[in-house]
Amino acid sequence: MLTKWNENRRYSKLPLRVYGLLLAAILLFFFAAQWKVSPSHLINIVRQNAPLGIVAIAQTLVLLMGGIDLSVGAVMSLTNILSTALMAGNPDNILLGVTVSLGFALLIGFVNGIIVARFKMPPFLITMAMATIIQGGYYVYTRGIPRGSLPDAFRVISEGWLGPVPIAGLVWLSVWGALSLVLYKTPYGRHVYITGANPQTAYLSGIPTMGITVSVYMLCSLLAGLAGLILTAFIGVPSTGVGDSFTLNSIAASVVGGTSFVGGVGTLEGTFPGVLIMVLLQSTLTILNIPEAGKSISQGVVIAVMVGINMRVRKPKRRKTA
Amino acid sequence: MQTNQNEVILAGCGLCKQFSGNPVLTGVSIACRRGNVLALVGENGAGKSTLMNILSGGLMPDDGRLEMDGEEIVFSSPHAAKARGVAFVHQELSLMENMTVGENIMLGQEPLTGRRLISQRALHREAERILAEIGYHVPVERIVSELTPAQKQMTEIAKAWAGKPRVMILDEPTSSLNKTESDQLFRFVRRIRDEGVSVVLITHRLEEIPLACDDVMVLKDGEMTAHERVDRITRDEIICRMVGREITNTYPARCKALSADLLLELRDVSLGRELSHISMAVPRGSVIGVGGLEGQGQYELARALFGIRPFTAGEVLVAGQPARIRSPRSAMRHGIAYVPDDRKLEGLVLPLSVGENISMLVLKQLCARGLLNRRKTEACALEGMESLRIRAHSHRQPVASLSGGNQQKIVFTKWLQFKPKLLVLHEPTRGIDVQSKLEIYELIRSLTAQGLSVLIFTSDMLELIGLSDRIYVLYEGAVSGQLCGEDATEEKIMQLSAGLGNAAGGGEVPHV
Amino acid sequence: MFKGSLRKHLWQAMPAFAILAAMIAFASVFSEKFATYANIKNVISQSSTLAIAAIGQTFVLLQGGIDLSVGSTISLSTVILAQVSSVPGVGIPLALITAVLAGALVGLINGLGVVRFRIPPMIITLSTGSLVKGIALLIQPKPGGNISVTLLDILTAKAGVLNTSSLMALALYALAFLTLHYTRYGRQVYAVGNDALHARQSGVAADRVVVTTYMVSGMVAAVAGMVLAMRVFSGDPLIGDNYSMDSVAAAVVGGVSLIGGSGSVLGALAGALVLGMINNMMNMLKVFAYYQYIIKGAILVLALLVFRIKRRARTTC
Repeated sequence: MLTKWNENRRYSKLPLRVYGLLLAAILLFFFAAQWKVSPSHLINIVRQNAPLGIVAIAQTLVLLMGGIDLSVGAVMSLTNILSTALMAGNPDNILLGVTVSLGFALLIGFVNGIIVARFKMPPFLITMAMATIIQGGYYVYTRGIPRGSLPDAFRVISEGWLGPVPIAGLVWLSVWGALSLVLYKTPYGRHVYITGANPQTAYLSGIPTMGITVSVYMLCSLLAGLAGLILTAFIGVPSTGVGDSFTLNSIAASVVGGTSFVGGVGTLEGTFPGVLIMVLLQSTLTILNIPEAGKSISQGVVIAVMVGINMRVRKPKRRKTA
Repeated sequence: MQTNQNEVILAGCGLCKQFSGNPVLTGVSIACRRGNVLALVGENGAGKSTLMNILSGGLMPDDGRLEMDGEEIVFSSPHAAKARGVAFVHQELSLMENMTVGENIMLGQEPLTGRRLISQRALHREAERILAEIGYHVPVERIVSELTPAQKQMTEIAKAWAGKPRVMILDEPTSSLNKTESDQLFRFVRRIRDEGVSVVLITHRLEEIPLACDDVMVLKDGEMTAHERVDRITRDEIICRMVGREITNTYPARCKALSADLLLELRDVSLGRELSHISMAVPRGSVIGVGGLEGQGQYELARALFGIRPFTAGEVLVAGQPARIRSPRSAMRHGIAYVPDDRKLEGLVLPLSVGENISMLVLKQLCARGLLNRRKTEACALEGMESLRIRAHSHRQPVASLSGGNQQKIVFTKWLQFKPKLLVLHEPTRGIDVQSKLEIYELIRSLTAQGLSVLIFTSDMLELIGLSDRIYVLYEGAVSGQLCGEDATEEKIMQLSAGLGNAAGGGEVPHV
Repeated sequence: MFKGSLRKHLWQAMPAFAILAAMIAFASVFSEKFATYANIKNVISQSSTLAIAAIGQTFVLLQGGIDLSVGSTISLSTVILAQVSSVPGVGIPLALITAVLAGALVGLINGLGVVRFRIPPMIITLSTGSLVKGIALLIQPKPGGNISVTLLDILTAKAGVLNTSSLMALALYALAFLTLHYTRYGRQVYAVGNDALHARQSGVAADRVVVTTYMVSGMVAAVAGMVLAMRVFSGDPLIGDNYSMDSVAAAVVGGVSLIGGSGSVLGALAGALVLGMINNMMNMLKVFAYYQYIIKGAILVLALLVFRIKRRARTTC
C-alpha cells in the first residue's frame, strides 16, 4: 500500500508529506508566538511573502529542468534599483520602470541559458558569476547610493486588497496557476520534465533541449524580476542587496517541497507549502530574537537535510563491474 | 620448476552467477596453474567476463568457491585480489588520463625518499624497467591522454605487472594491437609463464591461441564445453564447441523474398577512423541484421544513422533520395526511429510514468486547444500498453518500477506512436526475460509485414540468424561479409567476425 | 627541472602567470605609483587572504569537488578571533585552535555529506556555508570585537616587503605543493579527481581522500580568516562572503580543472594574485571600485569557457 502510494507520489496533487511538515511548522510558530496569532496575521504572512513565493516557483522550474539559478536574488535586487530609479516617484513612469526591469531580467536569463546550454557549463558557477556581475552592475549604476522612489500607485500591488484577498497574494496564486497549467497541461511543460529527468533521452527523442533550457532560464529570470517588483512595492524604497537572501530561500523552499536536485522530480504544489514552511520557520526564529542568523541557519540546515533525505531514499546507483 | 608445473595457484569450483534472474554461469570450474597460459574463448555473453570478474574479486559468485594455494578464499574487492597476486587487465582501460605513464604504472607503490616524499626520478626509472621487462617501449614521462590505444594497453599491462602478480588475466589485450605489438605481447606472456606466472588470456582471435597458450577452455552459455591442451584441439573444433546450438522455432517465420524497393541505402559511408566505406541496403519490409564481435563499429554505425554522431563521408539515401542526417531531429524527419542499447540512460525517462513515456513523441497530437487533453493522452497510453501487452498496474506507474522486458516494450511503443518507416534497433533484447523477448520478435515480424523496415544490431548470434533476412558482419569498422538469411550459420558468422572473410563465402550473395 | 605530470599541471598554470606578468608590466608603465615599495606591499597583503583560501579550494577541486563554504568559514574564523583572542592568558592559542578546529569540523560535515549521503558537493557546501554564516551571526551579529593586540603585532611583523601573513601564505603554498605533487596522499587526490572508480580499484581509499580535502579546505579557510581579521582588525560575520566564489575563480583562472585531476596549486597562487591585482589596478587607474564585481564575474565565466574549449579540442582529435 505504502509503496503504491509512493509510486504515485509525483501525481498526487497534494504532496502529503510536505503538508505534514507545514502543519508542524504552523504548530511550532503558534507555540513560539504563545498562541497569540490571529487569522489576519496568517493572511498577512501569505501576503508579505508573495515575492518569495513567486521566486520559489521560478527556482522550481529551473530545478525541474535539471539546472539551478543562483542569480535570482541579484535579479530581484536589480529590479528593485532599476524600477525605483526609473519611476522616480512619477506614476506615469510605472510602465517604463516595469518594462525595462523585466527586459533586463529576461536578458540575464537569456545569457544564463545560452552559456549553460550552448557551452555545457555548470549552471551553479555560471549563475553565481552572473549574480556577482549583476551586483557589480547595480553598484556601478547607483555609485553605491541608490536613488529614486516609488509612486504610490505602484504600491497597490503590496497594499491593495480585493475584498478579503490581498492583491500580492492574488498575484502569487495566479502565477502558480498559470505555471501549473504550462507545466502539466502543455507539451512544453512535459518537455521540461523530460529534459530535466533525462536530457539524453530527451535529445534522442527529438526534443529541442537547448531551446527548453534557454527558455526556462529566461522564464525563471522573468519571474524573479516580477518578484523583485513586488518586493519593491512592499519596501517602497531602493536599497542595494534586498534580494540577496531570496536565492537560498527559494532553493530551500523548492527542496522542502519535494523538488529534487537531479531534475525532473517535483511539483509546484509542493513548492507552495515549501515557501510557507520556510517563512514560518524564519518567523519563529525572529520571535526567538535571532532573525538574521536564524535565516541563514534554517536555509542551510533545511537544504542539507532535505537533499540528504532525498538522496538516501533513492537507492544508490552502483556501476556494473561486469 | 618443471616439477611444479601442475601446481594450481588459483581455482574456482562450481561457480554460478545470475544477473536479474538470467543465469550467466552455471557451475563452471577453472584452474589457473603455475607456469601455464590458459586461453578462454566463447561467444559474446558466454560468461567469460563474469567468470574472470569472479576470479579477480570484481563480482561475488552466487554459488561455488574460490581456492588459492589450496585454501578457500573470498576476495572482497578487486584490490583485495590484487593484493593476493591476482591481476585483471580489463578491456576498458583504467588509467589516469592526466598522469604520466610512469605515475600510472607505479600508482600506489611510488618509491619514497627518506623524507616520505615521492622520488619522481626513481619512480620513472622503475616504471621504465617494468616496461623493459614487457619488451615494449612507451615514453614513461608522456601523459596518458596523449598515448595511442596500443600504448595505453601496454601501460595497463605494465601497471598490472608492477604488482608482481602470480595470476594475470588479460581480457582481449590484442584488440588494439597490431601484429608486431601482439607478437611482443605474446613473447612477454611466454616469458612470464616460464617464470612461473599463471596467465589467462581471453581472446576472440582464435589464430592467436597456438602462439601463446598451453590450454584452451571454451565457454558456451555459461557452461564449459571444452578444456584441452592446445595441440589436441583444432580451430574448427573450438568454433564447434563455441556454437553448435539448435535454432529453435522461437523465431517467427521470415518473409520469403526481399523487396527490390530500398528504404535505406548507405553508399560508402565512413566515420573518422571508426567506420570505413560501409555500404548497406535495407529493402522495405525486411529485417536486416548487423553482427560481429563487440566493438567493431556497430555502436558508431547505429548512432551515425540516427544523426547522433553523423557520418563524415559517403552518402545516405532514404527512399532513393539523398538524406542529410545531422541530428536525431533530422533523422526523425526522415522517418527513422532508434531504440538504443541502454534503455535506462537513453530510451526512457525513469521517474516519469508509463503513459508519459509512451506519449512523449506525439504530445502535439494529444492537444486540444493548445492544452494536453486528458482523455486523448490516456487513450494513447492505454492503447500503447495494450498493443504490446505491457504489464503495469496503471499508466500512471513510473517506468523505473517495471521489469526490463516491460521497460523495453515501452521504448518500442514510444517509437511506434511516432509511426516510423525505419526502426534501428540496438541490442533490443539485452537483459530482458524470455517471454518479452519472444513478444518483441513477433512484434518485429508483424511490423515488417506492415511494410516497416528494421535494422537490428545485435551480439546475440541466434537472434541475428533467427530474425534477419540478410546479415552484414562488421569487422574493424568495415563490412567483412554479408549472408543471406537462409544460409547464415553460426560458423560462417564466427568466421566473418574473426576477419576471415573469404572462407565464409561472403561473395556468394550478390549485392542488391 | 620538474618530472612527470607536474610539468603538465604547471603548464596549465602558465596562462595565469603570463596574465599576471602582463598586468604587472601594464601597471608599471601606466602608473608610477604601482612599482613603489608601499604599493607592492599593499598588493601582497591584500592578496594573501584569497591566496590562502585558494589553496584549500584547489585541494577540493583537484579531487573533483567544490567548496562554497569557504567564505563563511573565513567569516566565522574572524569572529572567533574577535571574541576569544583577547581573553587574558589563554586567549591567543585558544582562539587559533578553536578557529582551525571549527574549520576542520565544517570540512568534515561537507565531506561526510558528499561521501555518506551522496549530496552533490555544491549543494552541501552551499548549505553548510549558509549554516556557518548563521552561526557567525549568532556569535557576533555586528562587525567589531576585540582582537588581541599581541596577536596583531605577531601577525603583522614585517620582514622586508613581506609580513607574517604573507610569509604564512608562502609557507602554506610550499607545503601544499609538496603534499600534492610529492606525496602518496597528493597522488591519491589527483587519482580520485581523474577517476574515482578506478582509483578505488587501485586501492585508493577514495572516500577518505574526499573527506580530508574538505577538511584541509576548512582549516586553510580558517587560517585565511585569521589573516583577514588581522588586516581589518575586527571580526565580521559577513566579511568572507565573496571569498567562496573568488577562491574558485582564482583556482580556475590558475588552470585547475573544475572536473578534477589536473592543475597545480601554484596556478591558484597566480590566479589569486591576478584577482588581487585587478583591485589594485582599479585603484591605481582611478576606476570606480564597484567595477571589480563585474570584472571578477566575467573573469570566472571567461576562464571556464576558455579551459572548457581547450579540453574539447583535445578530446576530439
